[in-house]
Amino acid sequence: MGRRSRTVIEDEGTELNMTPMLDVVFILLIFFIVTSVFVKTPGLEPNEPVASTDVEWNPTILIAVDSTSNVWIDKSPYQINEVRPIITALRDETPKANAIIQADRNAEVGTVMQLQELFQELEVPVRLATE
Amino acid sequence: MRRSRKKLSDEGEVDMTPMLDIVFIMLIFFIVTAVFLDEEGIDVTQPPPPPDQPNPPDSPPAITVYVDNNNQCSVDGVRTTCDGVLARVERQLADKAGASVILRFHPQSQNRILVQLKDQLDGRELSSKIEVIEET
Repeated sequence: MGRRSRTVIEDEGTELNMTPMLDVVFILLIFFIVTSVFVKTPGLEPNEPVASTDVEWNPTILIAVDSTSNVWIDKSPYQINEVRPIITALRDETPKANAIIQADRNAEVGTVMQLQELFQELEVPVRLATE
Repeated sequence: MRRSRKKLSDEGEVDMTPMLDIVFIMLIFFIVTAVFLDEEGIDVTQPPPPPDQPNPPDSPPAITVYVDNNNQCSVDGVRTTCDGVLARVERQLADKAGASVILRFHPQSQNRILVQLKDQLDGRELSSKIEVIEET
């Protein structure tokens, strides 16, 4: 009788208390759910120009322009004259979206400003990315 | 008697293992898909085009900065270095008080010049308009 009760107590003592770990896991889970943004990244990181008056911007539509003025959306390159339907579709997916144009230092102003005008026409707030 | 009660309370405990599995899978999913964006940018939003009447006679004078396809800058037709544009614009502003600044770019000029000029003018709180045209 005495022996048996001792084994029961020992068994309970070796069981791990998972509660603190569960707390941490839940906090991590909630953190990642809250901070996660489902964005389609352009697929390349252009060499952006430097500026001193730039401000923080939280975009959900990212468009990159490389040094040869190809427009990159969701990891595919396009010409400037074929992006209008793609950007319109992106805007319709997330109507309250902000956009950013990540243009390379050597990208052509013509392409960059055409994108800017396109976003303004679609009434999407947009910024020109800097470092 | 004591033993049987103990057994009962053991059975009453909920088995958390399946929930833990799901929570871990969700956690790993969100960690893997998380994209941390820290973007910075300048505002190059253009004012809406004015109604069709060309410049009303009492419109304020304008200072025109032109950047050609070789990234050469000029202010009111005078060639200058792109770093010296701001100084020249300010000198012109002393003559033409309240003048607005128009940045004209050749479509093949480079983005870094656009950002550099816009950034400098924004730094001095000078509003500027950006136009893209082939010729001066």
